[in-house]
Amino acid sequence: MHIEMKLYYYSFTILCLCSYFCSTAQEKKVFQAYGYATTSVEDILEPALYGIQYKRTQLALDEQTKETVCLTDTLILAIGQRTSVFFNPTYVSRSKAWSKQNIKKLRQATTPSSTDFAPLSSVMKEKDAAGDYIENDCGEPTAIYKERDRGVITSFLWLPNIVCEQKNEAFRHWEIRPVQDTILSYACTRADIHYAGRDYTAWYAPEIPIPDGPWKLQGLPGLILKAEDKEGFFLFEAIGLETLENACITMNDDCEKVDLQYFNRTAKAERSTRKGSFLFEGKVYFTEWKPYSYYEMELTED
Amino acid sequence: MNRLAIPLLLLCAVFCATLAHAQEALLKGRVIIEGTETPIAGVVVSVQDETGGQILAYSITDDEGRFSLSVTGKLMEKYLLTASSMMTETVTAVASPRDGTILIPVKEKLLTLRESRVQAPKVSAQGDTINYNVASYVNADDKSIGEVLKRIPGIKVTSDGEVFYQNMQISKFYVEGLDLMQGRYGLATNNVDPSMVATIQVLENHQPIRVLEGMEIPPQAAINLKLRKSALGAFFLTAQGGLGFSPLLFSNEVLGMRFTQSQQNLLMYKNDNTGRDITTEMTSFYGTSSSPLLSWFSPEVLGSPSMEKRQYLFNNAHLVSLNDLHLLKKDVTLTSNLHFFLDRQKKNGYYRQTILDPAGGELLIAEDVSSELLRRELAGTVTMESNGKNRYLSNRTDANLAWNQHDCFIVSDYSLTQTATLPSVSVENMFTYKTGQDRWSSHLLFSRQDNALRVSPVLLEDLRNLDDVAIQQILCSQFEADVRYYRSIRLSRLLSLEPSIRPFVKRKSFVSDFISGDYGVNLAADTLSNNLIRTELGTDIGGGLRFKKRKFTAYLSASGQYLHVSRDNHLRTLSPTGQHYFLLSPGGYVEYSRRGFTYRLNASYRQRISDIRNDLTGYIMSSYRSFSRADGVLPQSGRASFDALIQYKDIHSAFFSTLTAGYALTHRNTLRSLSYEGVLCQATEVEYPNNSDNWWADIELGTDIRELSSTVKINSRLSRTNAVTLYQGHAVDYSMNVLQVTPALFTMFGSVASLSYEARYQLGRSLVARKGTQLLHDLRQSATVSLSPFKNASIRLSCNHYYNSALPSNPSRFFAHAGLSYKYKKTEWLLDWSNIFNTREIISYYYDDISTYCTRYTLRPMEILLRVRFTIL
Repeated sequence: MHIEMKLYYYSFTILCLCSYFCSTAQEKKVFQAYGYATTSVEDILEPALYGIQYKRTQLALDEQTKETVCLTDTLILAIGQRTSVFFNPTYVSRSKAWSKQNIKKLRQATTPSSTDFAPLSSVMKEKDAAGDYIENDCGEPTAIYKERDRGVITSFLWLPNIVCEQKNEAFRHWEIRPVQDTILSYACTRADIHYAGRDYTAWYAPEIPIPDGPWKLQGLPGLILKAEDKEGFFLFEAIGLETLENACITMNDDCEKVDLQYFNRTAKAERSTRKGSFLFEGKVYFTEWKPYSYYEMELTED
Repeated sequence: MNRLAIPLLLLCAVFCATLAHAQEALLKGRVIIEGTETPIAGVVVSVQDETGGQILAYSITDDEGRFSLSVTGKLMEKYLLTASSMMTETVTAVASPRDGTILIPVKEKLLTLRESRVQAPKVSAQGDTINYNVASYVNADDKSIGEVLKRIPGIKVTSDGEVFYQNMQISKFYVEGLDLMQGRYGLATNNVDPSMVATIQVLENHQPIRVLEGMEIPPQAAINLKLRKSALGAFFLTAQGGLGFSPLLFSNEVLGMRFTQSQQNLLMYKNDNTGRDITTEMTSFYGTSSSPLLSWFSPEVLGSPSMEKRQYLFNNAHLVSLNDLHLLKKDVTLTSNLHFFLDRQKKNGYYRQTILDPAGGELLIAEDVSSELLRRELAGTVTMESNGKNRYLSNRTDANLAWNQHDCFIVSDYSLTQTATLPSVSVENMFTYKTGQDRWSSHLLFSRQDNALRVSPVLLEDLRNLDDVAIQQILCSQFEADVRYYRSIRLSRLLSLEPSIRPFVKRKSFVSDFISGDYGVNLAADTLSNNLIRTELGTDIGGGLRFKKRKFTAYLSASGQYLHVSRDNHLRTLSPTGQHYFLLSPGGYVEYSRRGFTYRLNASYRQRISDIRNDLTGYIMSSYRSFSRADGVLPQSGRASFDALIQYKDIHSAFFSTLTAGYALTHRNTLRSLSYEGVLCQATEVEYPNNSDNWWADIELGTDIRELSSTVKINSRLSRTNAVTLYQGHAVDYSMNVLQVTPALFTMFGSVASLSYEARYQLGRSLVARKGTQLLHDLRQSATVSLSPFKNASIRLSCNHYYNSALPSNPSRFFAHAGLSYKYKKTEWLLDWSNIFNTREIISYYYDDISTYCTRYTLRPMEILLRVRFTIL
């Protein structure tokens, strides 16, 4: 690496670290952390240079009406020189806020409370009478880290703190089509791939020479700004592009490594289950229910 | 042989072609930083076809900067390679497979993205809730959420702070779904910082009572402020100190507020003498909170000019407001509000009234006036509300205490002072209980006014005395109580019947004396005193029939009121007289909504009898030159009104429009007869059956123009009123025609600058006895430019222009103001320079029935005020 670039890289890392120490001293964060991690110095991977916001649209089955519904959320791809992370920026803060509320309720409780999650339908009367029912509607729980230089994809689940590593070799087989479109003012070219049991169409921008994209998709000679599967279950569309300042990609490396099947099963359960809590007659009730049943993105292991 | 030769040749050709296509060119190389041997990873190296369009192959460099491209198809001598990455400049190179290791040197350069920031939509809808994203409408210069509300299409804020949505008053104003202010929402609109608010929500057809949701759908909307997460639950404490000169100015305040979804507090002290009328924050805009007190005197002569209050109001106000809301348990809230203000308002000017006598000639009244209004008011409200799904229970108690005083000094051919002392007390309680079908409500009111008007010297020769002082004393007390029962009976899935009954009692006593001299000598003349008690007993009986199918609603109501009025006039030794009345009030509406359009037709008829003011057969001195009385006939009126409304809104383009047109015909059996003797006016309510009518058409448009980052609003109103008045014993027909157009434009130039322009043009003409007065053109316009050259600093420049065509010599007046604000850490410095041209007076010209008025007001001089606002918490 050129000396100037190294200087830039290290000075920025030092700046982030200094900022971190200052923040610890002043109880303030002066850099923006991208990724699921504690704000420990060891968790900083590298500076995040670009942030791409994607609108994800996916089909799901409404468990109450048994009808197919269309759900949307916003996820961020934070890109560094070597790595990137694709994640839900509000997941950790919402999750922590929910935990805080539960701790507060447990403090107020006068009767010992079971931490088992009861089906919500079994305590509806108590829930209606309590009036302080809150849910952990935190959104997408997983974060996808892509180490482009190592060719490794790491999927991360905040709770129960598990990771799954995969190689990105499957993304060497894109078929580029002579079809053009424009997304966010960038000319994009179409490319197709078969990955994990589904056929995907992606639109990448050659003007942004970053071989990255939403979710695990990557390996094209430009940033993927739009991707959808052939059956129309999943759609990612870039809705915002920005250059980041004072931002770092962070990752908690103290996690249990699991296989892909186990990871996807746990993530699906976490995604589908809406946990709730309320305080009624001095006792804290923890509940759970499943509003939606989500479709698997990965049908096979590639 | 020949037969085989051709297919064989074709086969060979195809084979050769396939061989040619199957050929592969391998391009290998490294990407390094120019001028060094440093390899660079993550560079996309691609091979394109001759046109430079289609990518034939691509590779991404590894840690050693190596790439390998395998190009299939037709072999070429040279290939065009492109190397690009986020950390380097894009480089193109021509290379051949025979070149061996291709070295591509690149220069370092960080990729620059054409940024496209995600912005929340300015306006979005979710069911009956319209969400306005505050960040899209806020200026760097905005200090309160009320300033943002004014800019929002579909919403109108009047000069006194009342909020309308699609030309209809809002029914509730919430913060995080809770009604802390109980109608005095000026407290929120003037004090909540826009940075605290994420979204302004308009809740259309808002039914505040949960048990009635889906059963009764009111036409009015409510507004809810959704706070930012960082503001929800946080306690905000700010303090402001302000000092200025010309003369000594001060503007101080301490403000604390906290909003959560279970507890809300707003505590405030303000002290101001800079012309900002902080007491308007105390105005309640809920219909249920209208003042029960009657106005007996009219000591104010000057009125108010048609301009910004801040330019003419000489005030010194202290205001304390304590508001607290607790969610006791689910759906049960306890709200308490306590307000006190002390305000001294001064006005100086010249007043000229010209009364057009249809018999010929004019009567002219011209006076120099200086007045001082001292307002001291204490108001408290306690509201307990249980708003459950199955039951609604609410009790609200209001108590008001006021001891106001109004002094006027008048100079003309005469010179006199008049002082109105206006103490009053009122207590009101409203109780409501509602379930799905049954609704009970009760209302209790007690009020007492002990008012006096002191005039010195007395203009009327007959009333003159040694002291040359006359005092009109009035003692009025009233008690009202009613209970209402209402039931909703569902006749079918679409049809429901809503019968109701409301027995009520009202008792009002009124004593007035005209006292000559400061030492209280009652004048013996009966005609100058009153002593009566009026008792009303009655029952409202009504029924409503509601038909609702999807977006179509029809409602028909027929209610009648049986009323027994007993008038006991002690002074005139008349035995109590009782009269029975049966008053009708039928009405109904039809409403239909489809694809953003709402159509509504209303029709109603209402009969009324007048209040105790028209029972006074003895004279009341309402001002130093006005005496009024009634001749004993109880005034009755019937009013029929029809109006049609078409609303259209398109949320996607943030376009809102409302068209309203209406006609009202009123029949009365009495009329006020005005007789002038010099400047002295005697008004008597006499029996004179008459009709008056008025019609109006109103258009309101508001939209965002996203391409220009602008919001445009236009409001236009055309109205005509035909009526009759009795002047000097003669009936005089008059009509007033008014066209008013109010455009407004708000434009933002990124976060650096903004422009707002507002205007009001009014064209008016009145006809008295079919003779037209001159056309009156009245224009007021203001433009404000806000600049934020630096992150924490902003400059505001504004200009006002007033034009009145009735002023031939100098119909235009210009005013300019400038302001600077700078934020430094937790302090904000605000410097205001107002009335830069030091314009000291303005003349207003307007008309009313058969009179025209020309008024000159003294304005505030050029002033400089420095305020420092501290954010303590």
